[in-house]
Amino acid sequence: MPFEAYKIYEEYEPDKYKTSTQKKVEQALSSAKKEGLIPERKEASIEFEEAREIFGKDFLGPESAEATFGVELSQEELEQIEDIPFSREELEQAKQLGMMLVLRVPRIGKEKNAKSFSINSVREAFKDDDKLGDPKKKKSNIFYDQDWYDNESFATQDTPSLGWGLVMKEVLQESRSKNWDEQEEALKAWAKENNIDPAKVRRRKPIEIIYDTLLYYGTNKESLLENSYDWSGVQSSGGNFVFVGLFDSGGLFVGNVPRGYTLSNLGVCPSR
Amino acid sequence: MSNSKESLPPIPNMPTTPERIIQERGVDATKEKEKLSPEQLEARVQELMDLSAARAEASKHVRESWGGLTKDEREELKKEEGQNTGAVAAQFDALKVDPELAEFSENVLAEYDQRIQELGSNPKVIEAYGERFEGMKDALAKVLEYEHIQKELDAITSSEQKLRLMYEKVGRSPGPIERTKLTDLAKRKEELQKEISGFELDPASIDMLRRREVRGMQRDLERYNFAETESRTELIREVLPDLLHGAPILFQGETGSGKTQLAKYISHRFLGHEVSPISISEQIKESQIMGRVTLKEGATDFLYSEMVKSMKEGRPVIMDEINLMPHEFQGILNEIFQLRIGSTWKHPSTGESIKVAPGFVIFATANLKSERYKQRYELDVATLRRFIGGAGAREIHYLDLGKKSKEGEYIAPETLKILASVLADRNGNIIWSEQESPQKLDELKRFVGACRKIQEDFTLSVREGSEDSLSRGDKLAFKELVITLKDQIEIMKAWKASGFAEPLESIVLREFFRKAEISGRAAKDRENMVKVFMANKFFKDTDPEDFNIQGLSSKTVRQWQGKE
Repeated sequence: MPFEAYKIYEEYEPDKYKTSTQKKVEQALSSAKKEGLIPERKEASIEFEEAREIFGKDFLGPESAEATFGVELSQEELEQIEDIPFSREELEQAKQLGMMLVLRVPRIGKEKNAKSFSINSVREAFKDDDKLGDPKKKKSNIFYDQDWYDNESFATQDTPSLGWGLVMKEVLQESRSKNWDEQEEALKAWAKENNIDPAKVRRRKPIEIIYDTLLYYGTNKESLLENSYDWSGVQSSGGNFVFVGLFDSGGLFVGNVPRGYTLSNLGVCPSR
Repeated sequence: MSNSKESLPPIPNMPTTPERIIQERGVDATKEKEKLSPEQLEARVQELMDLSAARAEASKHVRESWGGLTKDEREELKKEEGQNTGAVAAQFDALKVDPELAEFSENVLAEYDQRIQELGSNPKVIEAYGERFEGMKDALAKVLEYEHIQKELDAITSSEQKLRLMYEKVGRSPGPIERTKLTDLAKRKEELQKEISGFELDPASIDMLRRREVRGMQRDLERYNFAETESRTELIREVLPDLLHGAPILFQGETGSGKTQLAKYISHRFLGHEVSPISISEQIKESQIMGRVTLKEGATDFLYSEMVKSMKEGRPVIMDEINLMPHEFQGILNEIFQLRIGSTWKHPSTGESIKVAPGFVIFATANLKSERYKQRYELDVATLRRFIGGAGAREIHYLDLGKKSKEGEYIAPETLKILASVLADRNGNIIWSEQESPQKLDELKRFVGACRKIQEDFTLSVREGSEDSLSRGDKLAFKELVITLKDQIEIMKAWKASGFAEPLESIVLREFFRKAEISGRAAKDRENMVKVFMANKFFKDTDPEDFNIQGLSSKTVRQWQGKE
């Protein structure tokens, strides 16, 4: 199959053409908003406690980040994350869909020992031992022993941005055994099915997959992505798309394959 | 002015390429009864689609080299002529078609036909192909309807704009009949806007719309050496009503930012004439603007200049690098800059009253220069005011200059759009396989990223002038060399011509660095360019000698490559 030239720049024109389904969803949302069925975000922002109540153990807030990565938020940072950018309805729907609410912080360690949260810095921090999980069921490694990505920019430079994210805890069933482009369609279809703007649904970056997975493991002593891989939208220097997962006793595995590949356990976790 | 709904003619029912070939060559009996699994059937239909599309392109290319004639038509012509005059053969000889290339192209076409015949001989394949083709026709019909509404909407918007400007210029309010007409226009516009927003598009139609957009850009590049992207479309929309009234416009910008090309494009496409150049230099003479006395059949005669002729005949003119003109000379032009269509101007030498014909407009361009030369090159304030009071003094920078995504990353969507159309075939496809496309796309984006960085730093060098001020941060100083969109297009053409088999960096080296070797000039600029490309993961293993840059040692290059 040849490559469609417009795919080179399509991402920069997301609103240029819309399918009738997209338009209908937008119209429905806009009239619902006008009729007051969807409250404005400002009014809808909810307190941490309410979010914690909705998500239970799938609420990973500042305490989780501190306990897992030893990071303390400054007053300014706390103010920045004070408003969770999702309405109560959105959070309730997300919980129903099997998502978790994650606070991402771009640092690891406290005070003088604080470092930027890159894949390499977190590998360094957890290289000796599994300090995160249940002491009785320790993994032999947090990261599977690999060196191919030592110098890749996604491992050396990328850090998560400070803020809240909603993430599906497991890969979408319908995204497995699909190539990268087919998974994009699966993501859009999932969004439409759940009345979520497809433009707001995205893949996670490798750094976010690692951050979220370790945060969940550190908080709940349970492994996500134990038998599957989450395929990111980030390319390795060789041009393949990077995936992360298989977080079993051997540790998190980071790999890369061309976009045309399919694997039964290579899927995608919708994220917002 | 358009205010009535038009309808589209239906898409004609023409035989498809495989149908035509089967009609001509007959069915291949060995393939007719072959049993195919659903996967095999799908693969063959896809191959037939790809071959039919590629054949059309190859065939067009061959026809063009033979003055638009197919092989059959050429043979028919030769047969008709017989041995009589040899005029047809002479005509073909004049086309200077390389016999080796001609034979290659004809053989390729024959091979296409043979494979299409093989595939199309299976009735299941041709049936499935036909169904898919019908689906495409349905999508095309929908797309044409959508484009038709969009075009009508554009035309009405432009008419409204033109009328508004006319009432503004003459300083009167529309009368009752005019008001009715304006209301009708507004109503129709509203109807069309509703139609567009309610138009049902499906993924197949969107795919086709986008492919047609790519094709449209290819056509514009072929015809005008210019393709409209959003920022340029916006600019044209803003200035066109004034230009249609004959108000002059000034485009100022860095060298190679496309000022002249933009002027040529607007003239040719929207004003209906190719632009006539008026040459400007520091030594310009009044006769070049007004005309001169000449001898004709023993008597003196006055020969009008290109400028005056264009004014009388209604053609646009372009004055490139107007800021090179001495200040005292600019005064002579200021009177002309105030003319509009329909105004009368008395020629100072002949006394003739010249009425400015519709279509006349002055485009002027000025290169932005460094601080050091600013005095010498700055436009006279009075002249500048004439443009500001006309269609404007607009800055034209490199496409995408300073553009960032919401996440703060530099992006180059408009450049990528143009380059994508250069890389694509007529069907909007690039011949990258599924496996190689991520790597090729990455190469392309890194290339555009490097070019953007060079343009950014060049622009800054021009604005700030002094090299010292540029030694800060990661900014590099470029004194005279920059990589323009035109250069990027040429590089893309060469890459495409290699079938993408050659790495992009080899093409950049050959098509840009080697061609930019001008006896050691701009060596420092070329050195900085190498640095920028290396920062974008190019030239990791290039032999230092290959850059052939005066003063750039092998050791330095190896250090940049991290090898020393």
